Amino acid sequence: MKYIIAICIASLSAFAASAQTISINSGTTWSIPSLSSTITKAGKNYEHIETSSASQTLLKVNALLAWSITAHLSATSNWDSSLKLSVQRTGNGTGIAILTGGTTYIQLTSTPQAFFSGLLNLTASRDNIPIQYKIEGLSVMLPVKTYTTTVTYTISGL
Amino acid sequence: MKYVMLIYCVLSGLASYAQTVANVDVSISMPSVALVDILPSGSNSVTLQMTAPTEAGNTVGTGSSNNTNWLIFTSAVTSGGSRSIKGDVVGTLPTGIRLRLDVSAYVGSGLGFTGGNSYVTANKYLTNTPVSFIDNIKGAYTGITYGSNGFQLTYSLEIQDYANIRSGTSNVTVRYTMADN
Repeated sequence: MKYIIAICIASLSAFAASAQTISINSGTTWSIPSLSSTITKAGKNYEHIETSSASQTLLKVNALLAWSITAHLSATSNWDSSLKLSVQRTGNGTGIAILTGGTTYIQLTSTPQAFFSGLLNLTASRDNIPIQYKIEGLSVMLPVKTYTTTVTYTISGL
Repeated sequence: MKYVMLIYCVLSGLASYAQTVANVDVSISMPSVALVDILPSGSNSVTLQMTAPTEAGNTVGTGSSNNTNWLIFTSAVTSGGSRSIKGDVVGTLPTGIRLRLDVSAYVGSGLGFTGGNSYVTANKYLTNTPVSFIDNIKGAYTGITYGSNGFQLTYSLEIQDYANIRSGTSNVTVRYTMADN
C-alpha cells in the first residue's frame, strides 16, 4: 500500500511538474545594433518607436489546466528607465488551450506583471505563441552606448 | 524503495522550477549625433555696413547689425563627453573692422540647456581662427521652430583700428562647427 501511495505521489508530482513549463522556440534575443530611423535635421530629437517583428519571440507552454504568465525586466543595471520596453501577444500559436489577455502592449518594469493566461491545455502544449516588442522613449539625452536588459517570462499554475 | 520515490518526487519538483522561466535578451545601441544648422528668416546672407560720416571730421557711424539668423543643433554624446560649437570666418575681413557675434541665451522647448550645459561663452568676435561660442554641449536638441527655438545670432561690425579702415565691400562666410571637446 505504501508503495502504491508513493508511486501515486511521485506520478502526480512528475505530472504537475511537467504540467507547467515555458520555453522559447525562437527569438531569445532582440537586438537593435542601429536604429531604424536617424535624425536628419539639426534641432530635432528622435520621434520614432523601435518595434520588433510581430513574432520576434515564439513561446511554448506546457500545462494542464489553468496557468498564467508574468513578464518583467530581470536585468536593468545596463538599462535606462526612460527606455520604455513593452511586449504584446500577437497571436495564439497552435494548440488547444484557450488564451486570454496580453494582446495589447504592457510596459515592463522590474516587477512581474500579468501578461496572459491559458486554460485547458490538458497536457498538450500551446506552441509558437508570437510575442512582439517595442521600445519608446528614444532620445539624444541618453548617453551614447548599448543598453541591454532581459525580459523574463514566468509561468505559474497547473 | 519509498525513499527512492521520495527523491524522485523532489527531483521532479526541482525540474519543474527550472522550466517555469524563459528569458529574452534585448539590446539597443544609441548612436552619437552631431548636427548643427542655421535657421534664417529668408536667406542665410547677412549684409552689414558702416555708415559714412556726412560732415568732415566726424567719425564713421555705427555699423548696422543683423539678428535674423538662429542657430539650432542636436547632440548625443557618450557619458562624460561634451562638445562645443565653434565659429570662424572663411575669407578676409575688411582691414580695421571686427565682426562681432552676440549669441543670445537659449530659448525654446528643447532639452539639455540647464545646469551649465550648452552655455554661451564670453567670446564676441569672429576671426579666421575657430573659437567656441557655445560650450559643454552634452545630450541636447534645440527644436526647429524659427524665432522660438535655438540661439539667436546677432552680427555687427566694430571698428578695431581706425587707421586701417578702407572703403570697399568684402564677402566672407561664417562657419559653425560642432566639435568634440
